[in-house]
Amino acid sequence: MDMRNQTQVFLMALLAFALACIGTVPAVSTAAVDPRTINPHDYPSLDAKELGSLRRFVKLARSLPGDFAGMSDDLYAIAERTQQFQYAYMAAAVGLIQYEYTPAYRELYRRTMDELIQKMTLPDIWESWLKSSRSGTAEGDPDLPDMTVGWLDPVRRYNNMLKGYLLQAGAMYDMLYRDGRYDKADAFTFRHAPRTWGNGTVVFRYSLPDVARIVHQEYVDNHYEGVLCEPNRVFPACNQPPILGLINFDQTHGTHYAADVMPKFTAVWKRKGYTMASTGQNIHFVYVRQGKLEQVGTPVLDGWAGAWMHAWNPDLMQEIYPRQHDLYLPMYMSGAWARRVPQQNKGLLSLGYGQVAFMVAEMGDTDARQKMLDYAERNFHPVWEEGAYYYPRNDDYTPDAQGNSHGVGSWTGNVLIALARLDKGGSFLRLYRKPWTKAELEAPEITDVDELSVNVSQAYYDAARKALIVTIEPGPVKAAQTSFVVRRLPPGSTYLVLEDGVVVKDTNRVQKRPDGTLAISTTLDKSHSFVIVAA
Amino acid sequence: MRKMPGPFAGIAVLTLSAQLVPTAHSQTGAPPPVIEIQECRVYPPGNPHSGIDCTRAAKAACEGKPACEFPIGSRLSGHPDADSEPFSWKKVRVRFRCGKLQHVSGPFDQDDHATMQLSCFG
Repeated sequence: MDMRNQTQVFLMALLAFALACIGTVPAVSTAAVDPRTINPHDYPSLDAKELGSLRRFVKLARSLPGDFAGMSDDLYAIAERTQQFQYAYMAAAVGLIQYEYTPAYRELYRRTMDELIQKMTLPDIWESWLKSSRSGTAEGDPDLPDMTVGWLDPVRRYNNMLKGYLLQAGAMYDMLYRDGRYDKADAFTFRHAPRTWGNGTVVFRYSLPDVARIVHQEYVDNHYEGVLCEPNRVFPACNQPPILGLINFDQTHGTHYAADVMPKFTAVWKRKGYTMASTGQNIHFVYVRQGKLEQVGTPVLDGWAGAWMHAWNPDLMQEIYPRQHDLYLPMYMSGAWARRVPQQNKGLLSLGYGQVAFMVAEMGDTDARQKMLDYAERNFHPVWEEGAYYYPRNDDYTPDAQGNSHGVGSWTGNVLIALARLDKGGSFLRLYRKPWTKAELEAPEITDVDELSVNVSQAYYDAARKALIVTIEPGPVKAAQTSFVVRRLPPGSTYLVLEDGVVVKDTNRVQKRPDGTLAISTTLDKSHSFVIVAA
Repeated sequence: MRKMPGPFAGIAVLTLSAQLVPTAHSQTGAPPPVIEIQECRVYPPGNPHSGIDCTRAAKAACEGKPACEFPIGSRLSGHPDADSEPFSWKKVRVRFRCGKLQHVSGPFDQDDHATMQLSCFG
């Protein structure tokens, strides 16, 4: 073929491609989308157990201050107790559902995330820092003469066991809602006012930008070898949430904290051997002053670190994960883990199960994830309670005839297994790589949902087709009818509302209101799917 | 009748007196007690008699009020401790009176994010 012919063929191919595009684009970009082609099954949705987990998070978020019912753990080795982590992980899980499943229904998630974050500022939660800040010879610093007096302020120095999670949750909230709530000077307020001991009442107030700046500075001060979780100790596991928090913070505030930390911390990880060549496990922690690595790997800490690290450093996790999978999965699936129960720390066994399950889920290891979820269903006795689904604490870790244990701790039972179910692979990686932009923030959403009688299993705006897809289901409180409001539909169009594939013509059931919103009412006899699309 | 053990009796008296103080004032029509700052010091750890007098700042925030918040950050001494090690952080202590009752608040670490809360109400 000569040059001229080649050019003609190329031009014809280009023309054909352009015509093909012209043939399809108008159908997508104009209002004339055939609504019958929009199938709700093509969009993300929450199944019954996932909705049940969400209800568990909401219930625990709404508990009165000081009420931690259903959140206890026999896990006293973790000095901070597990409640603060349960709140932090639930906040992240709520953010994940918001981002991945129901982006067009926000009022429930926004309130719940904020409530969960604020729980971490209760004295029951943060005052455990007073003990951890005192360090000591056995765990904190072998060269100390004794425990120190410690200090009260839970954010000012170290304590990434708390502030790293506050940063992660607060920055995720800010990425999703951008309402400036956590930019306020008193966003995180810690009041210390015991009347039976101490030096009086003192209040510590921090904003999210304060926390981000302090966390970043601690990375710098420690030569990017990690922020200190407690005095003198850097855990690889507790270094993941603060990095994730810095990522979301950079995205919303224009800073470059995470961009600075991530490559340098990764380089340290490899240079210092935070993953041990001998076993493929991560080190336990680093004694900072002594420069000593505690080289004892555990499933608790490897799962803890791995799930979060995949969300910012998937390449490194792809290197680390295969050996940890081979080490831990057979142990958990055979029940061998249940025979290793040390009575004084049995809760760690359940915690390891939950953390590893969350890790395999985020890694996208669908086979391992399903096995671990199935094992949990068979052995951990899940319950439904007022619409909530969870695995109640069970201290019976004694292996049964098949070698399986039924023991489960609250951290695992309330949120870690739920996270393994909700995260179908790389969910947090997507959340941190593709933060919501103006387009998502200003997209249509539904509001005024009666959260007691209604479960919203779908709420998704398909911008390309200008279609809002909503599915509601009966909730735990029975009601014959319900309604919701659709806000921020692009102006200048009229909208068709289809319920279960049929156009709703009854103007009593679909009312266009003077403010441009649509009020939609329906029955709650069963699940109903709606497609709201420009006519 | 069994006698109430000592410590519990003490708590009961404290509780009772805390409840009675405002009631007594409201019944007699006397004005409620207000804060009278006597001393405020910012000092290095272990040396409470040295350091900087911050009485004026404490008075500006609290004098004559039944309750107040008093920021205890670097403004009190002009020397932020942000970069120093925790055990070298300066301390802040306030002595004040509510009527005839003497109170102490602190020492607390000098801290740009901290406020002392002083109160004459129990």
